[in-house]
Amino acid sequence: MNFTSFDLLLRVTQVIYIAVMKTLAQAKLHKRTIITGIADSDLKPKLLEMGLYTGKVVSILFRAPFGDPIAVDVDGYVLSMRLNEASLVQIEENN
Amino acid sequence: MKKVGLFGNPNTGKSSLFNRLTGLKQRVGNFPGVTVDKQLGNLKFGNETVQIIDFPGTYSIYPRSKDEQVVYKVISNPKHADYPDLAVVVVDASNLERNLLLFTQIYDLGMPTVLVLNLTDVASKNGFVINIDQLQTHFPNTIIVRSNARVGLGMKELQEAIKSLSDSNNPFHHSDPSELIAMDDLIAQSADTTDRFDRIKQIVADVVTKKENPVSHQFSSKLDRWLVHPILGYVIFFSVLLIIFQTVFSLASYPMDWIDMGFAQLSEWTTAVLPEGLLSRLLTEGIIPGIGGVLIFIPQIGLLFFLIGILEETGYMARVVFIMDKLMRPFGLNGKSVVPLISSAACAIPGVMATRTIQSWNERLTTILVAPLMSCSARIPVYTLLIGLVIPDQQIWGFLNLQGLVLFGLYALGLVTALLVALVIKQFFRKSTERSVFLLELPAYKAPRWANVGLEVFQKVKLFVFDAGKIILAISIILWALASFGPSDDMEKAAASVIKPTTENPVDLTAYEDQVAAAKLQHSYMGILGRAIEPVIKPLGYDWKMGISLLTSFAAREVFVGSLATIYSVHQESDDPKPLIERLRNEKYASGKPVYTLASGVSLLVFYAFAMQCMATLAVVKRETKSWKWPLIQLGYMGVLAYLGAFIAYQLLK
Repeated sequence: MNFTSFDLLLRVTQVIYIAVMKTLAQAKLHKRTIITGIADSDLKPKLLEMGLYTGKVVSILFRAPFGDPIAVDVDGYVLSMRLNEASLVQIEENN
Repeated sequence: MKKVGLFGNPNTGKSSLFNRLTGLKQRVGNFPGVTVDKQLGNLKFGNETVQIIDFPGTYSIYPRSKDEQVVYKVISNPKHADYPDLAVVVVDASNLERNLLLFTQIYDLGMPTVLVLNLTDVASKNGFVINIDQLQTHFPNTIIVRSNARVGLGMKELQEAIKSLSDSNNPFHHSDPSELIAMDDLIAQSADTTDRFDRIKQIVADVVTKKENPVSHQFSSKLDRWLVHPILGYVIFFSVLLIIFQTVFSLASYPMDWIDMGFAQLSEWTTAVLPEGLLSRLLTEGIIPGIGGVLIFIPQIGLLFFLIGILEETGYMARVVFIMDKLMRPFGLNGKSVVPLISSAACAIPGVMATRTIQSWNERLTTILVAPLMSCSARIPVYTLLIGLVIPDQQIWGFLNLQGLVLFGLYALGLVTALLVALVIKQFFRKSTERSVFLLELPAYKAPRWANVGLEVFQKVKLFVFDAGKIILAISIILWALASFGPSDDMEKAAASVIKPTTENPVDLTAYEDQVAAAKLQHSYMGILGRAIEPVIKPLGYDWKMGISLLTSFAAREVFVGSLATIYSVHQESDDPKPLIERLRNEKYASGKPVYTLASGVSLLVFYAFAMQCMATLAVVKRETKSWKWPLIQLGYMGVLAYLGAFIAYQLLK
């Protein structure tokens, strides 16, 4: 692949961002968490349409046998998603 | 005729509703440019008829996959042939918030709408009460209908609503698609969705009262403890697969035998009744067996879709996808690819048709392309014959039968090759811009609605018989013509050169007839083609007689056995391959070397494991991908694999 310096910068920022921010991919099982935002990506509108908007309270119901995908309780319905999709959903753990 | 568009999220009971409204009077049409089918049906009130178009279930009018584009394309263009005069939006009452997104998107365009609050029973079980009058104040220009499509509640009200709105002088017909955001403007779409949910949140808070703690989820989550369990989940799933496989493989064989026998008898009967001539032969040897060759697949298609229908209706299919996704992902396949692939081990035709549940086009296409590599039941007669012929019947390590081991190896070869080819397609041939999206709703478990399952079976069978059937019939007539005619009178001369026995002994007469058939086939166009390809197939260890059988078995793989029997004039009374095996063992080249050796036999086995020798599958792939491009690519790559595989096998074992 041919990275331009801008791409590289973007990628590095993303990596740092992911390392610092907590996402749904790292949430604990059955722990209620509040969505704080969706990372910019081409999946963003899709995730929003599935009801994952800022302020929504969600929790992981169960994980598939190899830990991926996960099943998430979104306000009464069960949405399953891969970890790489869940990692776009930024959360704050609700204490 | 007025058009009514049916919209809604997946799992809202939209198809139940469509089935309720239209019953068996459904048709399948094409939406231009996408592979998703257009389900059409008519609804009659008195003299007036409206057409109901069932659009694919989506969460938004903005497309997130290729097949979802049809919703946007139709709605954004009032001149579109399928542009509805009225939109019926089916909404899951137990999940009002997410479902209202699609509804408000359509409502805000000013199109006349009916809001169907479906699954109200589930909603009340979950402790939700929806104040309909209050909901009406938020959407004054729509007609709200409560329904329970599973049991048929609210259908009359819905029909009345459709009737009243399809009157031409309805007061609020001023749809304005210019309000729509561009299809690829994801940023504006995200902002719009966020704004809409802000509004919807308030509406939901206003109209929904939650009475008690939800209880219905408990049943689903208890079941999920077992069905997605790290060990039990797979045990259960593989048991389910085994049942499906056994049913499609064994249970279907009875009606298939009846169809087979029925058509053979019909053919015989027409031969006896009709005067001899070209037209009668076309009918008895070309058309009747051709139609039989189409209908023979109905039991397998019907049974598979009956079982898949149950899995889909109950909600278990979504769990299958959930537990298999991680395992299939490295190969560029989807959790949903598992059922089509396993079904293809019985027959690739229903297998390919079953890929429709895969939403991602890339993953669906990959599944379609590799599915025929799974060893289907039509390969079994060929495998049995060749294994009996060249693999010694002996035990290895004291307990394993070598012949059985080779058969198992061929099945494994098919599966491994299918996965490897999928991997190659993923690595080298996919457009990387299209990312694989999983995001799948796991619906609550529920009892299947048998009418839906039955309609699904009916639709699939109808589709196969009328769409793919045409192509299969055409190719079988061509193959028949090639095998029945030769240049000038070569065939007649060859037949005449066979010495007619002087006795009336029936054994001699049968032998004579078999020899005449052999002589004719060898001098037909098919025979000439077989000889013509001999230089090409010689490096694989085949002679021209095998060449003829390779060509004829393009109709269906099992024809290979029958063709060899004809060529070697072995009379086949039953399915018992022993007389043919005996005959083939004695077949020698001019040099005295046997024709069927371990090397040429294994080479043939490998060839049949890989080659795309099934016109019915090609016809179905054309049907499912709506283009000749993919079946031809499939024919090509599987042919190359077969040739190379057989070449290597022969050269190594020679």
